[in-house]
Amino acid sequence: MNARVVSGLAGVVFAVVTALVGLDQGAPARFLVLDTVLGMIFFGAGLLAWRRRPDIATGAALTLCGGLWFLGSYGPTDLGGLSAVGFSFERYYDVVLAWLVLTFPGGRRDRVARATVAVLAASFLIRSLTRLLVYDPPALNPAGCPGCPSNPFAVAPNAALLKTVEVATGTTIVAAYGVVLVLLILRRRAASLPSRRILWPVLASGVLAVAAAAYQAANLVSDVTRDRGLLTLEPPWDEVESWLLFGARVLIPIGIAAGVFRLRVAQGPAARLAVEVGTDRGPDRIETALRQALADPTIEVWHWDGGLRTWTDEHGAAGTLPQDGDGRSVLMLERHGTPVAAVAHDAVLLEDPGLLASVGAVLRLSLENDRLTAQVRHQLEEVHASRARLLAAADEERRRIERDLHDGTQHRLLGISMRMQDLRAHAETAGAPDVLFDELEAVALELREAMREMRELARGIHPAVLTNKGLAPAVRTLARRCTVPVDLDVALNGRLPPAVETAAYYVVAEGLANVARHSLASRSEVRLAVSSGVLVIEVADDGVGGASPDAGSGLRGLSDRVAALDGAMTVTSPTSGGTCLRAEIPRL
Amino acid sequence: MPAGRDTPTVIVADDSAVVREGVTRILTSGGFLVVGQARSADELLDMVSREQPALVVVDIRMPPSQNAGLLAAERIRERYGPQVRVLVLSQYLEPDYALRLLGAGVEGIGYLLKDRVAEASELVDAAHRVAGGGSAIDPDVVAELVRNTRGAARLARLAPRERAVLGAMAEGRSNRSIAGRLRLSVKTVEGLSAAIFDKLDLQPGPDDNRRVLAVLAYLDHRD
Repeated sequence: MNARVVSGLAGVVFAVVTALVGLDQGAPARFLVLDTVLGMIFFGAGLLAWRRRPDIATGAALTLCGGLWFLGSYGPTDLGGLSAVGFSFERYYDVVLAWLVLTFPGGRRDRVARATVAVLAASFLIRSLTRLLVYDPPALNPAGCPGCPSNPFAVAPNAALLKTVEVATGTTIVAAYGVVLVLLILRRRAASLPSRRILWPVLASGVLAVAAAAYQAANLVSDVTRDRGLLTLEPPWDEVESWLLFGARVLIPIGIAAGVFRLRVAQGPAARLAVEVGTDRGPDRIETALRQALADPTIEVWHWDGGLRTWTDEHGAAGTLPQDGDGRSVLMLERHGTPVAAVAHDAVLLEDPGLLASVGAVLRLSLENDRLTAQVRHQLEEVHASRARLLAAADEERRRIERDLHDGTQHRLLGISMRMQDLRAHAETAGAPDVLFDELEAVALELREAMREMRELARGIHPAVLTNKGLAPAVRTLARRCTVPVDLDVALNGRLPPAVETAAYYVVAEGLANVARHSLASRSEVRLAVSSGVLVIEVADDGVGGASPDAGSGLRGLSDRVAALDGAMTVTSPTSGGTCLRAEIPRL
Repeated sequence: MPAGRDTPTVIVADDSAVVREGVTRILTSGGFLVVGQARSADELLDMVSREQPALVVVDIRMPPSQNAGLLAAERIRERYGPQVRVLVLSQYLEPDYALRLLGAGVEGIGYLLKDRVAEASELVDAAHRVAGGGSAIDPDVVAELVRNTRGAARLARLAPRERAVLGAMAEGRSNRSIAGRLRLSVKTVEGLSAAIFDKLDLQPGPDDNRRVLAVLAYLDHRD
C-alpha cells in the first residue's frame, strides 16, 4: 500500500519534471507529449496491476519501467549531469521488460532466461559505466559541439574505448534480445490452453517490444560503426519508423497489465471446482471437475489407499503414480503428513503459482469432506445394524426363555402335580386323616395357580402363537383380552418376517394396553394392512385423547423398535378426543 | 381297571418323559390301554400307522419344530378321520389353536391345557369323551372366549345359570354331562339349553357336536 502510493507519487513527480524539462528545452510538443504519456502509461498500468495482484512483482516492475523511461528521456537535453545520466542509463526499461515477459507472472525458474537477462543487464551496466565515465561530447567532438552539454562524471574521455564498448555491448544486447525472442516463442508453443489465454497479451506485446528494442540496439551499433542507421529512411518513413517503435513500447505495459488481469480471472477455476465437486457425485467427479476447471484434459487424480499402500485412480484401479518431469507435474495432497491424493497435470499449470494452490485447497477440503461423510455414513450403518442385531438378539433371548419355561419349568411343575396325586392315592390307601387330604388339596391348588401364572408369564415374555401362527391370531388374542371392545380389521396374506411380526405385535399390545389404561374409550379399532410393501398398523380409540407420545417408556421403546426396522411411529392424540397410534414398517 | 376287549387303545406322545409316564399312568388307571409312547411327531405318526389306536394324546409342542405336535394332530385327523381320535395337550391358552384344530368338525377332537394332567379325573373324562367321538375344549379356553368383553356384553342377557350351561356346552359336554357337573336334572339342562338358543338366536343343532360348533362360533364371533 505505502510502496504503491510512493511509486504513484514518484510517477507524478517524474511526469511533471519531464514536462518541465521538455518545456525548458523547447522540445517539440509531439515529443514532449509522447515522452510524458508513455511514462505515465507505464506507471498507470503498473499501479493497476500492482493493486490487482500485490503478491507478484509485475506491477512494481512496470512502475520501475516508467521511472526508467522518464530517466532515459533526459538524455537528449543540454542539462549537463542530467543529460549524462539520462544518456548513460537509457533504455534500461527494456531489460526490466525482458525479465518481466520471460518470468511472467513470476516464480518461473528458467535457467536460460535468467542467464539471458543477466547477460543483458551486464551489457547494459558496462555500457552505462563506460558512457558515464569516458563520454564527454565537447571533449570528444573535435569539430566542437555547440550546445552539447559536458559530462561532469567523465573522468577520462576516450572515444576509442567508447566505440569499442558500444559495439561490443550493443552486439551482445542484440544477440540477447534474439535469445529472448526465441524463448518467448518457445514458451508460447509449450503453454497449455489456459496458460496461453493468460499469456498471449504478455507474449505478443513482449515479442513486439523486444523486437523494437533489438532493432534500436542494432541501429545504434550500426550508427557507431558506419555513422548511419540500418535503414536510411526519407521522410515520411522516418516518422513511420519512430511511431512504430513508440507503438511497440506502448503496447507492452498494456499487454502485461492485461495478463495480470487474466491471472485474476484464471483463479476462477478454484471456485468453479468447489461448486462442481460439491454437486456431482460420480466416481470420477473430481477428475472431471478438475479437467473442466483447469482446461487440462490430461489431468489424472490418484488416491492413496493407506490400507493396501498403493495409489489408485478415480475408478479404484491400482497403478503407479506419475512422476514430475517430461512436461508433467504432480500436486500432492496430504493429511497429517500422509498422502491422501495426488493430481498429475501439465507442468505449464505451474505458471500461475496461485492457481494450483487454490485448486489444491479446494480439493483437500472436498476430499476431507468425502472422508468425513463416508466415515459418518459407515458409523451410522454400523449403529443401525448393531441396533437391529441387539433387537434380534433380545427377541431370540425372549423366545429361548419362553421355551425353557414351557419345556423345563412347566414339565417339572407337572411332574410334582402328578406325584401329589400319587401321594393322595397312597394317603387314601393308608387311611390318612382328613387334615392331610385338605393340606394336599391346598398344595395342589397352589401348584395349579403357579402353573397358570407361569403360563401367563411365558406368554408375556413371548407369545408362542406369534411364532407358530403369525400376527393375525396373536393380535386376535390381544383384542380378545382387551377390556375395551376392539374392532379388528386384519388384512394380511401369509406371514411376515419375524422381526416385523414381533414389532407389530408389540405396537398393538402397547396400543391396546394404553387404550385400556388411559383412554376411557368405549370402543377401539385395530387395523393391520400391507400397502405397497409397508405394513401399516393402527390402534385407534374414541377416548379422551391428549396422550403425549413421549409419555411412558413403553411408547419410546416401541418407537426405537420400529425405527430399528426402518419404520416410523406416530401418536396422534388431540385434546379434543381420540387417540391414534400409527406405525409403518417396511416388510424387509 | 383291567384291559378288556372294549378297552380303548391310546398312544401318548410327549417329549418329556415325566409327562409321558404320568399321562400313561393316569390313562391306564382311567380305563385305557396305552399301546405306545412317542417322543417326537415323527415317532407318533409312525406308531399311529402301525397301531391304529382309538385315541392319540399328543403334546402340542414337540420336536422337531415348535408346534410339531399340533401339525401331527392335524395330519392324523386328515389321514384317519374318525378312526383315530385326537386329544391335544397344550401349554397355550389360545382359543385360535383350539378353533383351528376343530376346523370343520368337532367329532373326536379335544384341546386341553396341560395343567389338566394334574387333575386325573378331568383328563380321563375328556379322553373318554373324545375317544367316544365327542369333543372336549378346556374350560379355561372357553372362559377365554367368554371373557371377550364383546361376547360378555352379548351374553349379558343370559341368566347366570344359563351362562354356566353355555360354557359347559362349549366344552363339548352332553346334556347328561352338564347335568352331572352342574348338579341339575337332565330335563332342567334341556330347558335351559333351549332357552339359551332362543335368546341367542341360535339354531339348535341335531347333535351335541353341532351344538358345540354353533356355540363356539357364536362366542368367537366379532361383530
